[in-house]
Amino acid sequence: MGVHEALAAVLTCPASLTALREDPERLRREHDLTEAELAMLVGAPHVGYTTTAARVRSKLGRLVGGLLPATTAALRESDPALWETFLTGTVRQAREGERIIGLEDAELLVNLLAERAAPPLASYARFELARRRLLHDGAAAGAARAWAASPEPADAAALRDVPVAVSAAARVAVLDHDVTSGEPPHRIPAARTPMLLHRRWGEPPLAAYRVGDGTLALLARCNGRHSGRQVAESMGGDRRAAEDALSRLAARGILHAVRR
Amino acid sequence: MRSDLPYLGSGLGYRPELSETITRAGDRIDWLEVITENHLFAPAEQREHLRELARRFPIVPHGVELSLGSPREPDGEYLRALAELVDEVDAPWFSDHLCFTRTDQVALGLLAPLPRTRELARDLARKAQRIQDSVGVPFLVENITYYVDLATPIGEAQFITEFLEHCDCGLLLDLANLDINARNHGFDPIGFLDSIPVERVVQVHLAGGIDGRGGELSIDSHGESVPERVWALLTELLARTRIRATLVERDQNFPDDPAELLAEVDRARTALLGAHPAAAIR
Ligand SMILES: [Fe+2]
Repeated sequence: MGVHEALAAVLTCPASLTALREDPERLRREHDLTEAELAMLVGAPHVGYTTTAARVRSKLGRLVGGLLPATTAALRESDPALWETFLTGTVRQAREGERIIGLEDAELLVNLLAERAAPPLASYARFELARRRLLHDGAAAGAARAWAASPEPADAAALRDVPVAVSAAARVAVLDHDVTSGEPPHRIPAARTPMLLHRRWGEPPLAAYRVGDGTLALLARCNGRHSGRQVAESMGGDRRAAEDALSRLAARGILHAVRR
Repeated sequence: MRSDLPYLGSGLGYRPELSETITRAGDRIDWLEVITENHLFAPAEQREHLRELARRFPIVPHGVELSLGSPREPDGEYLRALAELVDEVDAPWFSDHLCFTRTDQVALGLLAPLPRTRELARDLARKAQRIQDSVGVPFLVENITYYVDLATPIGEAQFITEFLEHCDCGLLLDLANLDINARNHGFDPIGFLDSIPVERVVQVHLAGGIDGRGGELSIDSHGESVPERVWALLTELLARTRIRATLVERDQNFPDDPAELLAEVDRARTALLGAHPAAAIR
């Protein structure tokens, strides 16, 4: 409702811009405008609208490009038409309390790529978004900072009888393509690729490791309810090896003992 | 408006791409302006980096997403975080734009022009005053570049004047925006300076844009060197009033040789001191 909303519609929706020119009465009804408000919109030279609408799209591109630089660079190179589809088809919603401006729009792009892009690029986009989310996650940064300030003892004995949990600084993402291959994002080879993302305090602030299924299973069991011993035993294989793996992860700040 | 605002001199807009230049040539830069939203809810290390910068330079947060002109009140959480940021870097003032960037439904991500009426100017003045009071240091409001020239009952200069008459916020006059608007919409920028309360200008922005050709509008890209027309407007402004700060703004197309930007910062300082030699002494 109102002139702000009408102007925003004209700048983001080609049908509203056409209505402004050809059927202004429709625009007046849709946005409940007074005659005076409609006159303000109708009286503005058309070139101003087209210039601004183009700038709204380019700002969206810069915003999402800043959050997903590798994905968007590869998309512009490999499928410029799909990038254009995203820019012309996306109207950014006003979101109450949006903290990382554009993050939800970046997710819209990732969803579009999952539907329409080549699978390697869609996988890479998911990976880049997961990294971006973790980088901006306050709890992850807090955990990384606390661990850097006072790393906990990580030997197997220290973990044996206390519940262990995955740090808020760590995330797992299982991808269908090998994001570690070094190929451009739209050409990475198909391969199941479990990745462990780790927010660190220092440079670089984010590390990504390719991990095996064993580590993945171990991490899934570290849910804050089971002790190190129980986790190691539940793995069913060599208990010592599992305990060693737990202490290696703890030494990097990926796991920690839960103190009650 | 408070008359005891500090004299900051000639500054440069902080952008990550200019970080090295700022570190190396800090003695040629009097102060820095940072984009508020890049620091408000940013990763903690970034805030730490900002605090480090604040030990070396006066810092002013400059926002782009307050959306002062939206019909609704600004987000309380945003204002609390802004006040915290202002406090953390001990900012002498903060700034944002006289525009709207979002409605209840749409986030434009762009500084959009307002339906200029006297009534709206007064409403926004009251809102800006409340924001200034809640943040605790002076709020400077900036004129935008607008391409849609709404057929409004009053023009931009009258709108700004009406706004300033109903609050005690200051004006951040972007001279590049003034130059581009004057050319795009066919008005005299000197007449504009003569019709606003220039004594309320605390700070200016200096930047360059792209000249429109063959019916196209000129674009405020913040990606070119400051044109002579904008320097001339600075001279005109300084002949009319004493300001506290100038700022060279570059958002893209960063020159390979930082000397170009530093020369602009030097030139602005020379203009400031030339017009009011005692300004730096306060
Ligand atoms: Fe500006």
